[in-house]
Amino acid sequence: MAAYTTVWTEGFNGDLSNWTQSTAFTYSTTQNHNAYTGAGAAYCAAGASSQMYRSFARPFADAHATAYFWDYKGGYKSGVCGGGFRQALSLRNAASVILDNGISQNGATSYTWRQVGAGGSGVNTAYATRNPNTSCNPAWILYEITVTPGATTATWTASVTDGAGTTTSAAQTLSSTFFSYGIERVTLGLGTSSTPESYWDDIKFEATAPASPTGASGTANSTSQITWSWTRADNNVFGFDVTDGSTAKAPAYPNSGWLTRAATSWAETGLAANTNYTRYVVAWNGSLTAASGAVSRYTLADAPTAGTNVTAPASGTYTFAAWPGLTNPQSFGTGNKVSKFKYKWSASGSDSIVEGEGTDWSGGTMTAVPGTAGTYYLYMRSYNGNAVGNGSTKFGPYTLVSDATPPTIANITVNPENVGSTGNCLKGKLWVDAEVTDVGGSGLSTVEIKLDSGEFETMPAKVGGNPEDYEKEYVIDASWTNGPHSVTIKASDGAANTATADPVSFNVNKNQVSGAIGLQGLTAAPKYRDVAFVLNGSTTKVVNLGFLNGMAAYSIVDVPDLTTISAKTAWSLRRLITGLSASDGQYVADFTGNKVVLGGDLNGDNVVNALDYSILRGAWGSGGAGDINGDGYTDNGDYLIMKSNWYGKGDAQ
Amino acid sequence: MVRTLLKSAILAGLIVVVVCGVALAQYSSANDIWYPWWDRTPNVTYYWDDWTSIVGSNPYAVAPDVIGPSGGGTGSAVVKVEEPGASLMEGVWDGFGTKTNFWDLGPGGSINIDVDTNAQGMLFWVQVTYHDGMAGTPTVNVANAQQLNISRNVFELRQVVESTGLPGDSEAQQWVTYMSLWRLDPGAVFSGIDISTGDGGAVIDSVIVDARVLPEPTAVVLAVFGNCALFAFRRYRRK
Repeated sequence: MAAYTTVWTEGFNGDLSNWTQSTAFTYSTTQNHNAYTGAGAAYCAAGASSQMYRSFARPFADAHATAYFWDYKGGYKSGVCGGGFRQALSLRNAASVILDNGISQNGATSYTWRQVGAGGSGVNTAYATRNPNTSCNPAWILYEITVTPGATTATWTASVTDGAGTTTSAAQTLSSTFFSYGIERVTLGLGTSSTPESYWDDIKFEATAPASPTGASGTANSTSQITWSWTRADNNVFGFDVTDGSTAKAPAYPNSGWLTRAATSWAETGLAANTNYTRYVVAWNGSLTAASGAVSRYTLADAPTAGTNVTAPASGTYTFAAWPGLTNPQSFGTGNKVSKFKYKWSASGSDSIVEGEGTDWSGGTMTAVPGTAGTYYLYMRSYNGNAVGNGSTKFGPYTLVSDATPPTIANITVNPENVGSTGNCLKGKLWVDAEVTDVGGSGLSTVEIKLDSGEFETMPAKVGGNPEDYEKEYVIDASWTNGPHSVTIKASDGAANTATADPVSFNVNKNQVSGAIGLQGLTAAPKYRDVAFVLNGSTTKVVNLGFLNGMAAYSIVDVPDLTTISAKTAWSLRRLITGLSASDGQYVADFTGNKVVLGGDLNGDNVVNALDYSILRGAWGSGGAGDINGDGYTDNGDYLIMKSNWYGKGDAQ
Repeated sequence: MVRTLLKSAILAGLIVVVVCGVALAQYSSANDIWYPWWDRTPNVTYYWDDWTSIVGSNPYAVAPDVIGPSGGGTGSAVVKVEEPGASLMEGVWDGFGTKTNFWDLGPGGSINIDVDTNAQGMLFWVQVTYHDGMAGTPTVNVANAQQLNISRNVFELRQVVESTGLPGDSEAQQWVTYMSLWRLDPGAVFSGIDISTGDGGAVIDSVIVDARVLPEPTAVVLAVFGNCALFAFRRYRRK
């Protein structure tokens, strides 16, 4: 039997401050048993109904209480002397369980016990006789109550040692309900009146410290939960705490969910993944405690999750050589990381990896591949710091091949929407087409194109084309530079074989000149005229323009950087506009106002003289060569136009 | 006897006229529409119409097509064409009727006619045929000479020699011959007959110049006396 540990002793030294008064005792130095420090005793006056108690923060399952009661006659000698007391030493729960040991009625000749609750009847039962041979002198009577818990029930013993030194005991059984309440207070007095005065002194409460729980352990249930388990080592336990050494983690008595003496485990939640937690299981018996040794356990690591702790290749086809492997973007470790993965390759898509299976991967890039070509799934399982696995995540499928042949890139063509006479690509759309084919069987993974020295960008599959057709659309606008450009196409297959085609060159001329042009005297009706534009005095562009009200808009593409432009028709003198400039090659030149194109030159020598007159007169009455104003006839209207410019000289080209 | 002499003289004159006429008949011009009031022989007539004897480049030196009488003198035309004149337009051209070989002198173009002169002074009967309509009208001037009335009330003459008009013309299109008479006084310096143009230029088909040396004063006096004597002689015979 374990030794008792004194919880407290009370010698009443100066006051009753340790006690809660139900019906007031008073402190008195009239009597003093003087076993414990204190010069006085708790005093109940004759005829008073005093009762007081001393509480415990936590109940005890095991207890041994002793108290000395001052019997002013030392016993009860029938017909001679003897006081009628109603006083008792009690161990109690607040109300449900009461274990009394004392004298229950005035004039009683016996000591009685009473058990209320926990299987008790609540009836005072005599179990010892007050000293009938007393000398009628005062004597200190020792009351004791001992509670001894069993596995499921408990026994309690009421004992009394009278003034003659005779000790008598009576044992009773406490049902298991006792452990629902326990011993929460030591009470003196019954709260009913006693005829003579009474004194209590030298109270002691002691209990047996519990043995440390055995078998304390932890089990990681999930990434956020660990179940802590233990075995109660003895019966001197009213409950358990689970602490981290200083702070209770499990609900503490009397909070809801506190761990009773029957508890053997507690699941702790709200934890971080793969994090080590150290806990102590503390058995307690009232204020007496005994802790287990430290128990440490990691929560489970997060299951393999693509994008979180696993960067896996996209499903597809890879060559063995180009298998990119898997990486762990979080790196390996504890504390919300994964200590290691285990993996296995399987040809089945309905497989899994279980505890004990697989190969460790705890650092770097996992590049291991199956030994033979085929289609596989990669199953992975996470492990925590205790090497306990979690999850079974499937990646893939991956088709592993031995493709070592790069794709082929053929028939690259540059197809401008607008092309100049010399092959220049003009403003507008430009399509680059190519036929890209995988050869080695791993399939195409990327087809990219870059313009000049720019970055490669995706070259889309050609809409409506064959599977091998790819097409990239560009828009040549004013931001392009004139001159040579090139496109380079690069293709990669699923085995990371890459082919880069030779650059294909093309020439861009974004330049254009546009504006309005008016022909002197031209009919207001719609009329088409060929206009010969000469650029920079050397390059001729003949454009058939539709005139309305003598005016037309023109636009000439594929022009060089311009400084001058001139215009002439078969009926007019040449008109020159100089000083053109445009930072982006988009020139504007209007042959209007004082730049309108003048008529009269019918023979093309850019002057108006008798030769033109001769043509005019030769064509008189018909259209054609002399029809300067375009009305369909050569007549006086044309004559007047010519005359207005008689001997006029056109501008140089 | 005198009658015989006069008949002989008249016959001789007719012969001369016939001979000269035969000579000139070898080259005729439709533009030669006004003969001078003097006999063309022994005076000299210069014809530029076909402009066939052209030499050099602009300005061009062009000898007369015909000089009558043959060997009667020398002449030359200097034709300066200003741009964008079309210069000599050889052959037949639409809009210019039947005329061939004519000059488009251009704005400010000119023809300077040089002929033999005599310090006794000269008379120049100048006919210029030009195209009227699109191009301008040329002007004729003889430096240091004065333009004379052709008759009492006529200072100069213009006559349409050929219409080139077409239906719908708003102004006449035609060949016109212009004639003026100039006197270069004795001792005056001759620098040619200038045919000039303005901004409108001119299209000139022909230039015909009749040149006559002014008679000496003594010859005039003798002629007066002679005539007087002839008159007196005839009166005497009649008596």
